[in-house]
Amino acid sequence: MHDMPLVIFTVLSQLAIGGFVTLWWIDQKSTIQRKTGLLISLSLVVIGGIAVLVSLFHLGHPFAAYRAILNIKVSWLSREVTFYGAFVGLSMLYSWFWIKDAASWRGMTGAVATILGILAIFSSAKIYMIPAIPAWNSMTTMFMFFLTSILLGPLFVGVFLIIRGELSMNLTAVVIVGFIAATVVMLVYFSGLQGGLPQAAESLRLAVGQLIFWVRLFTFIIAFAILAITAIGKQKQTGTIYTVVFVLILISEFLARLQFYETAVHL
Amino acid sequence: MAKKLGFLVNIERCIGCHACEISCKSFYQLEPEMRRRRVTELPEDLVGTPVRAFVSTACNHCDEPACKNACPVGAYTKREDGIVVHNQELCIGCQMCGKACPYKVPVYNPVKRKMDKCSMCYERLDVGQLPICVEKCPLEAIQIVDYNEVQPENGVSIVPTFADPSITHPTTQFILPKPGKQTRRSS
Amino acid sequence: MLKESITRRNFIKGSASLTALLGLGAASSQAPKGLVPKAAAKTNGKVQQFYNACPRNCYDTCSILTTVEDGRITFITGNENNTYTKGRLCVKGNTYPRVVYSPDRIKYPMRQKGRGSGNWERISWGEAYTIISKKILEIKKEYGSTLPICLNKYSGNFNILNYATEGMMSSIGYTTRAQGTPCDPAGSDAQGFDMGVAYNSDPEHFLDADYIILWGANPAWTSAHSMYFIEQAKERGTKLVVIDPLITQTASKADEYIQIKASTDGALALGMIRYIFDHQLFDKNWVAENSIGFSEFFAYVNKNITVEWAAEKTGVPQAVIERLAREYATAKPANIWIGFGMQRHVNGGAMVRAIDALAAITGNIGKRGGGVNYIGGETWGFNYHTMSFGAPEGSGGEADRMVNMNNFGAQVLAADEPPIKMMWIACRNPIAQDPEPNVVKKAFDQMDLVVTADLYMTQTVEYSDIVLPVTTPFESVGINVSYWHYWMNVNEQAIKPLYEAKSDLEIAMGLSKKLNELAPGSCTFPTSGNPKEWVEKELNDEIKELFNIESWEDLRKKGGTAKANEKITVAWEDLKFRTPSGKYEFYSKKAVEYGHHPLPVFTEEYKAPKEYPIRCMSPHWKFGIHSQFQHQDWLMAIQDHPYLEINPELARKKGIQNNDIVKIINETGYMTLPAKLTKMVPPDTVVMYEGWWKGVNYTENITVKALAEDMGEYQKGQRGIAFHDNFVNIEKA
Repeated sequence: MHDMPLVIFTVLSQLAIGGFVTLWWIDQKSTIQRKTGLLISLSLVVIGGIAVLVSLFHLGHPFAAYRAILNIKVSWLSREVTFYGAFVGLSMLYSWFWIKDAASWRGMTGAVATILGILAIFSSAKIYMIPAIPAWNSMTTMFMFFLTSILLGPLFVGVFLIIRGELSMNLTAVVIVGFIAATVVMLVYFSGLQGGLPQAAESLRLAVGQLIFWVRLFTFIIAFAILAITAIGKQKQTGTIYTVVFVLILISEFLARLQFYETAVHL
Repeated sequence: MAKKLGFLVNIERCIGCHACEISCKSFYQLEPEMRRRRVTELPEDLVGTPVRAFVSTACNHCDEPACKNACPVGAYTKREDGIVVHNQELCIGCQMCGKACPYKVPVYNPVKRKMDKCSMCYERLDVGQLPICVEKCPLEAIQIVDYNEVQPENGVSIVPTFADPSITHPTTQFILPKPGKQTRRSS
Repeated sequence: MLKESITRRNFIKGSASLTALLGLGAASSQAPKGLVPKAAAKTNGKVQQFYNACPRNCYDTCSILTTVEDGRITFITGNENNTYTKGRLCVKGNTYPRVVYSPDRIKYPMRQKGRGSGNWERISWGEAYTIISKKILEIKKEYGSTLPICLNKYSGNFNILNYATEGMMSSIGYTTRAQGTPCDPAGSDAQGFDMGVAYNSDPEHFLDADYIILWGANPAWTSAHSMYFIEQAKERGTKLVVIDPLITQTASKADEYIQIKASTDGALALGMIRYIFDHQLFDKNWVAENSIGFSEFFAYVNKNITVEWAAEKTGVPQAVIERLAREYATAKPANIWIGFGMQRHVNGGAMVRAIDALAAITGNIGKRGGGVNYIGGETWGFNYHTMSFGAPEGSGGEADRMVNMNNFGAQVLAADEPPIKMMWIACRNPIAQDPEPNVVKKAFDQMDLVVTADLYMTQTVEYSDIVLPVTTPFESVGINVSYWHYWMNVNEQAIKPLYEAKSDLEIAMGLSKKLNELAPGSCTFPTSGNPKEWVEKELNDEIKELFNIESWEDLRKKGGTAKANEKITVAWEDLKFRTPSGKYEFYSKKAVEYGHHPLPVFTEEYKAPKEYPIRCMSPHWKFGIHSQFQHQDWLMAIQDHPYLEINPELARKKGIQNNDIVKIINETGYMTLPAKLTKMVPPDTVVMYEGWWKGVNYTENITVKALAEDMGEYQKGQRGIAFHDNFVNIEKA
């Protein structure tokens, strides 16, 4: 439970970035009411801010956290902090432009924030891709971090838009593609652990031995199934369905991330 | 030419007594759970005949220190003589260095809430004294060597339990024990 | 200093090693930009250094250098002025700062309501002295003597001033005493019969040996400083042979390790002797000039012993015995070190006599670098002034009454006319260290009052009525010598006593004061005195001459440590043995007096009972001296639980896997602990290391019966205990 702040930080920050990019993209491609956009944007700022605050609890000296950008030249953690900090700052500015209803400014700040967000997730994943912990040291870490963003972000924005009756794009398709990709990555990940160094295999053994592994799989499959069945059945994507799928996948990703940290076996 | 200081650990001499570890803990007044130097039991079939064998390791003062690249505040420096030094003043206690080090060398100081690791006693070296573990080993089994000057003829870079040296290029070398003759009772 | 270290170190061959180490202090190695802090900013306060002595019943009895900053100890290490300690301590000694500042220390006198209840209340020293004094006086009145008061004190602190506890007891009258030693008695008797007394050569002389046999000794764990000299000798070409039932840490370093069936070492020595006789490899002149009874012994061996028989008996192949015998007999000088563990058997004394004979017939006794080294007491000639005050007038009884320390519980229970009603325990932890701890507890149950003076809440303290907090060596004054090396070490007071701790000497004075207040003249022990004056009174002219010092103060000024005159460091160099004949006695009438065979004959080992076929040995643990040190959190951070070493073959038979919880049981008791599968122990033996008490409700002695060794009365008053003849069964719990 020692790494809990990091579990919460990574999941929430990836959710915030995924949500932001979705919002920005839809805002670019179609129209969103100012009030709706502001609401979504502000809630993403809040989530992104909470992620920052929670991450501080991981530090021995939270008030010295600002120093974490000092080693940007070589440290992926410095880069993550820098990019993510800039992203949160810009997402606040972006919200300001919702208040001001300045669409072109939104487009520009949103574009820059999107790039920063992507760089933040990339840096975040690179932190963990280290030989010292074989279970982490693979591209699957990178994919898993981005997929968390792709699964959670659009669903989060989608819930708001459906409730306000403004969903104009097929977010379900995006999420389903995310689900399929996540399934593939998961299989590659487990087989990679199994066939990897003894410490990687040990990580898998530890993970499978925990109940939360099975809860994570179950919630993932159920969420996938609900979304897929309702999509194939041409049923209307309701706020309830999106909310249920979002909550299930949030639980699933949270548990997966928890296991990612807790079952990490050092060389 | 710059120096490349590293530990040379003579497993042949080591009796696994942990005096290196505890003298270090005492000298630096570390918290009970903190271990800058660690003595690890090796597989008992290490040399063929079954023996009790141990290896003492501390920071390996790697050529490519993973801690240094992981640290977000730049608290780690590698001196010209090869010693990897952690500046606790700068440390914010994020513990990434401990995760990144293949040898789990940096450990958390729960009181200072900062990371801590072996500095090869560079303050002592700088005034002509030996590191505490080197000076206090009852069997004189630990030494520091400038590996740019000396290649110990029987030194090896890896022992069982020691992570793959190709990751960070640790400078530590080991001298493996030679098997003695044994007459064991058949059961 | 650095240079010295370079020349000492020789495991990098070639001249390049010097260049490697030179110029370490070059300024160019500083990191750029001042990111690296400069030499650690030490406190600006007053830094002082003191000499101390480790008093914990250890071969190495180190001379210590203690650094104190602003009244607090900041570092404790070895004293470089002592060529045996060499400026380095063993792992246990390195924990001393934690021993002093441990959160577990007993801070003030306490009284427990209900033995073992844990219901302790703090009392003042005055209250403690009053309770104890009143009890003493009450007993004296009721029984007409102080014989119902029993002292059990031994080796936890061998500072000479700690004999004040014995002195305090003698000063109140005649009392009952736990006599003897669990340590070395059978072997000491054996050497007493052979040579008059046990007397070992300077361990620094291992460097002069051509051949070393460590016979049941494990110095890598119990005498790290001796191990250094042995390793140095090895590097110079000396062959190191280790004979042991277990592959110890020392055996792991041997040029040759010989696994012997436990308790058959006498057979191996006699088999070697037979070979040496048969091949005329013995020193005829030496035995002719320096011994008596050789022809009887020669006849005994030729009649009763064969190498084949020895091979059968010991499990060591005949060819190995023959080669070993030849190597040993032809190496000059050849050195034998007999470990205390080897004689902790029912035939321990006889085995030591056989090994002594092996050294004698080869002429290795009295030679520098040779000898049959076991233990010695040549440097212990203090005044023992603290014990010199005598019983007060009108004390009932005629002399102290003795009970065997090694069967303490049963003998206390059996004591009658008068029974034992009060116990004083100091420098000991009998409930953890004695055989049959449950019987010891029963003896405690019979007491009106149990007083224990200790540093920590041991199992014995937990079962006492009153605990008195004592000082560590760093908080009191003293002087120490070793039963192994030839140094005398000063112990200065480095810091003020922590909390309300007092030394055994201060306690003796304090109690005497209270007794005399309550009943004037009831205790002859002085009621006040300066510890430095006390310690000076321990030195007499002979010991001052032996160590070439004028006083304790002089010893302190000379670097805190001094070595005895060379003339005594080679045991029996003058070949004047202290036996009745003045010669080495193969044939000992003294032995007959004590009920033994006159010759070093073979004596059968203890046979395993059918239902308990597995031998459970309890050798010393590397992180402890008996029940001391192991419980310190610095060491618990390395190993936090005891375990049972089991050979994989035996484990397979019993269905036991690594870390499984195993029950070990015999008729005396049982306990459960985790298994460690290892080939370091033979398949018929399991090993549980000695001295674990923290965090467990048992000790290694739960299954140990008070089974006596064959010898001990001659030198120690009582027989020892056959700790290693402990037979059990094991099962997966």
